[in-house]
Amino acid sequence: MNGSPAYPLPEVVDQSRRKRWLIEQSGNITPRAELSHGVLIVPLDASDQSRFMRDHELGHVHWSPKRPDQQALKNKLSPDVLAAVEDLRINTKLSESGVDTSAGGWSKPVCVALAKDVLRRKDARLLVLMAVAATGSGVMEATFSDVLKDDSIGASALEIARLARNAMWSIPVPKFKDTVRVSKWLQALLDTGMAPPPKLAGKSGAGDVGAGLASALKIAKEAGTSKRSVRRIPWGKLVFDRPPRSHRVAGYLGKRNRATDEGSYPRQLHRLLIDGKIFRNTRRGKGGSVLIDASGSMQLDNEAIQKILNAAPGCVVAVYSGNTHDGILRILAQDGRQVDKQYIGAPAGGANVVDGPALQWLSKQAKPRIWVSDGQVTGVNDRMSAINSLECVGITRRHQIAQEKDMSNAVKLLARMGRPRS
Amino acid sequence: MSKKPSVVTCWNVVEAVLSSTNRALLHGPPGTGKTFAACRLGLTGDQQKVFSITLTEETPAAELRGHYILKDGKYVWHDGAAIAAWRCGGRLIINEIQRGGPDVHSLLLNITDDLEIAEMDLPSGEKVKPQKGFMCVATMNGDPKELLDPALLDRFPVSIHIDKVHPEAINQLPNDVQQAAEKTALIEEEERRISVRAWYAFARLREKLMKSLDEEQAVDYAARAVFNSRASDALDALKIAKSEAG
Repeated sequence: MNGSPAYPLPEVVDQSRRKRWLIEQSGNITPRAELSHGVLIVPLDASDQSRFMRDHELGHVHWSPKRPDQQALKNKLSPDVLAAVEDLRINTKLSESGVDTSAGGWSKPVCVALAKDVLRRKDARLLVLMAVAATGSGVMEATFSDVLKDDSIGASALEIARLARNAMWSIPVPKFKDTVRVSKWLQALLDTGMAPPPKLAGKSGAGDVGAGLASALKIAKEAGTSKRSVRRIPWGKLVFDRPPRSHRVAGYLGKRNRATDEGSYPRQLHRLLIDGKIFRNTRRGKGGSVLIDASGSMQLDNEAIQKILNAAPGCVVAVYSGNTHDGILRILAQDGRQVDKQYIGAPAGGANVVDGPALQWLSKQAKPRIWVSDGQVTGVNDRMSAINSLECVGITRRHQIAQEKDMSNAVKLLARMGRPRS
Repeated sequence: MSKKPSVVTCWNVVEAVLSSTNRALLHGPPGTGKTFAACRLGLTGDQQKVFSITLTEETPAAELRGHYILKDGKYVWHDGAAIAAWRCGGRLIINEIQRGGPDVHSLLLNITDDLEIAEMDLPSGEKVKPQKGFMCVATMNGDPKELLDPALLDRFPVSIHIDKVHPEAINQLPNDVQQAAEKTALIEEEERRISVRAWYAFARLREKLMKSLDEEQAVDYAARAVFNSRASDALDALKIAKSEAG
């Protein structure tokens, strides 16, 4: 046994017609395979970690497409999410092929230092991607697990990585299209988990990033990791129904605070040297928006919808439900006018189907925005998927939409919002 | 007329051309089957004799031309490989032609001259000319334009670059290493190349060791013995290649 460099053999695993591969010692450069140029940058020493890295890059040569960045663009995926999930696939496929992956790419002290550094920065997204990319990498995975398990965000990251692995291996031989499928799921989960929680008067916020990630993880866990449940279901076509609003409604909803330089009790003394507007003037809100999910699972009767209409004077109120491939969103109240009683009720069938487009509509209406729904969202054919659920929660978080699962709670919330703070 | 192959390889050309020319040069990476082809392919009949010599810098010209040997108390003339081939119209195979020294180089210019004008006066006083059917096949590694004297290169108008391992050499290997052998034998960088011979040695050793050891151990030992520090990389590449791509 001599100490000569341990060159990898990309030629053996390369399925393309490429004749020449250039092998470069990685040194300070991150090991990688430039598939479109036939360049493999890897460590060439005899250590077990270097062997793992060489095998990992060989795995990319054999299993990954030439231009993953183009695939990310085509599928509207963030490149780092796609790369992390592809790393998971490569690591686990290497292990499945009989390659020894127990050493991982870094030694234990390096893994500990890296994991602690990311934990210190509280970068939840990076933690999740790191946990996902390290899946199937022996010592790396075990060490990350040891360091992250005692932290709330770290534990969520580990759980997400576990679910990602299950989602990937929900079929016997995962291909790159499965990387795309799981990446879409992970991206939806991260987008939802990282979005700031809605802040509404009369409703407490959902907490910090850790809590957001945990709630997204809960949705993902409930939906499961089967191939079907982590595939995005297209939304149905949303049709708007605007019946005549023949009844006038008096009232208002919400309140708005404005800084002023006139008043009795100074409440914002910090503004004294800025603009002198140390007083606060509370005004009536011009109204908000309420979207009611009238699908079968909500078991709403017309009386309950009427209660909401009564509790939300001056608001835009709409109700929606769907059939197999489409759905109707009916506007019940707008600009201080309501529809006649005959229009109050589910506008279409008992399915959801159009939750996503309906929420998109709500996101463009006036604040405060309330979505009355049990959160059971479906796409066409009334099929459920984790991605669709996460997408809806993501919209609610990004556009400050408060979700109320229960009708009576929604009415109470509207009543609280309608009462100006004393 | 034989059927035209769907993809023309260097070996199709060698097989077709070798029986129709009297001088040919086969060049390319080592371990691709050049010597095998020179010995076996394109022989004009079962009777055609084959004379083979591998040159080094120390090879004397006498090895090709001939020399006196002591036999039963007398010095008798003994033909070298080239003259023996001339005399019987046989095939002369010169391996590693680029390695020959100046003496050999001068003699080769004479031996590989056009058949109509080639002749040689031996030290025995005899004048010899190549007989009908004589042909010379030379093999070498590397680029002949860089490594061969232009005059000698000019003697080989048929010069074929071997860029593929001979299929017969590959077929002798077990299925699981055939593709790897075919690809690694042609790697340009010498330090990364693994010859077909090495894969063959690995396969043979593995087979023998499996009679006394369990499979995993036999594979590991055979790889370590043949590939040394590259054993794990070679084995891991085989394992990855075995699974479906994509």
